[in-house]
Amino acid sequence: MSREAVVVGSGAAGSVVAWELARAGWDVTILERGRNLRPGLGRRDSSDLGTTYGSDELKGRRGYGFPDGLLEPYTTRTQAEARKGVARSAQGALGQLGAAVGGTTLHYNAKTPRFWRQDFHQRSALGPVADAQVADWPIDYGDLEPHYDEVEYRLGVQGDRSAMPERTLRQSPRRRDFVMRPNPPSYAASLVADGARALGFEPYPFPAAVNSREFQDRPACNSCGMCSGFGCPINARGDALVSYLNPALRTGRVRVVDRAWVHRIETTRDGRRATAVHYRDLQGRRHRLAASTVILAGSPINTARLLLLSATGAHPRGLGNRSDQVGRNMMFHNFTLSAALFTRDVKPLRAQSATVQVDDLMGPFTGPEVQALGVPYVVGGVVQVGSGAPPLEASTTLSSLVGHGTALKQLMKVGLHAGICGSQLVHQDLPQAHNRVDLDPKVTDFHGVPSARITYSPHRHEQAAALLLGARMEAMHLLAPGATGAVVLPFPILSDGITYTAHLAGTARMGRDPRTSVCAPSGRLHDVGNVYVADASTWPTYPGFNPTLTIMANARRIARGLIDRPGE
Amino acid sequence: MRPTVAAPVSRRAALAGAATSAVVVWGAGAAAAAVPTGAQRARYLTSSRLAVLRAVVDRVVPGQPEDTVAGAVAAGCHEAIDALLGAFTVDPPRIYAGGPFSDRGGSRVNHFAKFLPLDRYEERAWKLRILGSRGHRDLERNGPVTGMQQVYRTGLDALAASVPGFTLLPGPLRDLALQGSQNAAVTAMFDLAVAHTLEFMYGAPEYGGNKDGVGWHAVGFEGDRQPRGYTRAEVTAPKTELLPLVDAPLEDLLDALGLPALPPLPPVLTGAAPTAAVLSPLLPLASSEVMAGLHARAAGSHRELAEQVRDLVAPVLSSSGARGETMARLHAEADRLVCEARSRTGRQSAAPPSDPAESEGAR
Repeated sequence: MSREAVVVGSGAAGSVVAWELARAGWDVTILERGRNLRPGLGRRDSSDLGTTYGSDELKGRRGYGFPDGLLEPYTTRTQAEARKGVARSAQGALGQLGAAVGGTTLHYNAKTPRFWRQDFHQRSALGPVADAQVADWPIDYGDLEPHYDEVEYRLGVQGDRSAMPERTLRQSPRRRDFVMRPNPPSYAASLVADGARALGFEPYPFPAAVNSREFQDRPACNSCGMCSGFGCPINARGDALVSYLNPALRTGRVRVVDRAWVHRIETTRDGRRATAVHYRDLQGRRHRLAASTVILAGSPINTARLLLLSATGAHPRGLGNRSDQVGRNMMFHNFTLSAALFTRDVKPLRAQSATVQVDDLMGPFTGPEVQALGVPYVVGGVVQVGSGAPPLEASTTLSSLVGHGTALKQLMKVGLHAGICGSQLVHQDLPQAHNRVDLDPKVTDFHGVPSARITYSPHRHEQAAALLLGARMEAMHLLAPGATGAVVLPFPILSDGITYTAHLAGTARMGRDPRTSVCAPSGRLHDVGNVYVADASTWPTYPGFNPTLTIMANARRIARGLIDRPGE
Repeated sequence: MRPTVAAPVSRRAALAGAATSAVVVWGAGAAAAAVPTGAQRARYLTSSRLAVLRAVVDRVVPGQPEDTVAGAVAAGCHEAIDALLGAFTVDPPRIYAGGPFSDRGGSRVNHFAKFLPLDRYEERAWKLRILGSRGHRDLERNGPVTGMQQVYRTGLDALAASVPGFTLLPGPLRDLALQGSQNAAVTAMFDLAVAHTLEFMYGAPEYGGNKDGVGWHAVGFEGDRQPRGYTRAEVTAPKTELLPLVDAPLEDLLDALGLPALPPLPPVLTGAAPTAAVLSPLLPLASSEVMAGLHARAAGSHRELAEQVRDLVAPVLSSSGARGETMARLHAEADRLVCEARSRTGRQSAAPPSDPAESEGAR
């Protein structure tokens, strides 16, 4: 039986898979389109790795660690535009989807909530929703729990079980306590947490893969506040690279080829097995890497694109796409943002970002107020409480409304940006057939390979959820002690298109029925014997939680299954 | 299309290499290096164009005589833009500062001062962005790309030609000339200049602007804090100064800022500090990860970003239209929840937080 694998993508899913396979004695080659940004990778222990990151806003603005919008454009349009025959309405970078060795986890926020039991059975518990393809997962919480536990202990997750609401613990039971105590919450976040308590909510420390003490010889976080979008300059964050990829490379059984753009999975004539992966390097040279097992872990847009690019006579609509579900059910988390305004500088940037979690907007909500909104139920998500903006971000945000010049300068001088504390509700996004990734008919990457085109609009469920829960978000911020006002931006109400791009799922859903799903519960394509999908593409629904922990836990489950029961 | 080079890699050979040592194939081996600064900095613009650019960035963040606090000229934003345009005349180009620390947060060594060598991908992307596609077919798969150099060059020339003596005009007249310009080259240049000026004003000084941290000092930003970070007390009980903006009457502020008339405010904001209320729709966006999506789509165009943000917040500012009505319902429900919570807790209005650092000390 095969003991070798080619993994496409070195982020949260690919790194976990590589580590698990290597430990089981497999030889693994990872192909990654980004470059390595951590000097010493593969040669030194994770605690001794260098970093090229810093608390440097301009570097992030210039897309360090991201695919370039000119060289690798995505194209997007709304559902309404697609119906009118508009080929695309935007072209370029797609925000927060990184490309580097270690993937987007290099600069992620390291929030690590677990999904809830109820998330795996939403279709059977709550029934269908018109114009959405809500489906039960073919696995449940119990299938993921041992993997959650293992991943949390490798990453080093901080949290406080004793402070977690009773319902949260019932919905996401834990066999052990967190690895370490939480870091101190920001002052600003604790003000909003007080507002949440006034509404009867139960705020608690947000579990995060951030060191509150020295862990595996990496230091404790010192609350600099430059987290989301920044690589941690002091190596205080657990991520795919330090916790999985680097240890995997050091087993000697794994190698990473960076700046490798995979454009095709080659299959046998009958299409039943993959035989090789084809990629191009920076110079455009083509390479063929023979493969006895192929694992896709490039995140949902890129995984769908690669399956569609790999169409053959045996798979005319794309590899493994008999169900016509490849690329469909593209899900983003819509956000509802809210902020409290204070008359004082509440130092929103001090503390690791968003230190407080609130689960009281999770749902499902099914009362008459929901029926009045014209949807059978509303599901929400976690609220991440307590965030602020560094000066470049603040100035560009303000300038987009007041313009530049004296007005902007005066506003920056009076420190408006220091007197606010923001929170985000991470909305569950229902799967829709018409929210999909396909190949752009005209736009290509710099190699000439068709770009991914994303057609997306929020479902009216998301709009109803934003209306119902946006009011609670606003109330929570109004009730923060000392708040002189609050405001809310419910993205699903305000925009027909994609507004938030860091959280992705769908496009190759798993299920038991090959007519309605792309992958088996094992992650294997129903129709190809040795191609697995290990990233969030496989998720049938997209519960409202920061996804990385679940991506890693599910990737571990898939890798263990492949080791123990290959071909299942 | 480039001719195909068939270069099959033997899996056995590749894996044999991997089995003996964790050989990782990547291009980023070279160490960071210092970039010439000051008089030796990279240049692109002629001195007359640079003088026009200087008079332009001054309008993005004005300094003396209008304001005692340093503006974009004192911060060196025009020179930083010029150095960006000439980035590829030095090695490494000043695109990505090194890491992990500057010398502002407790490190004796300033790693930011040494810039990172670009790999071929980054070099291709930034050359395309700065120099443009210049007719190279392999760079124009999705159409020609106009480089920043050309945008500045033609825009500054068009400005100088259409407004003789631009650099000598007082600030408000330069504002009129820039904002009222019907010249596409001028508006394209100014669009880029606004984005770049803000970047260099509020980005790290190593990129060439924000000289001596003047941009940060002006806005009370403490700068990058690593490796020192903050202590537990600085995090949980910081000293929280009163912000000055709340004292000024609304009309005075609007007047001083030259802001348009007050848009209709959502009812929940009636108690809010007035200036904050005008801008409040933007405040929830003050979370960098959310704005990143909008920035990426705007692709460096300030005008594009502004349009996106305005579209997004329009329903928040207006109660008309379907979205506006939905927002009005949302605010009404929030008000109801707040009243309910206050009657339940017996708290009529929220007590303003006293400075937690002081109350800590009092204990």
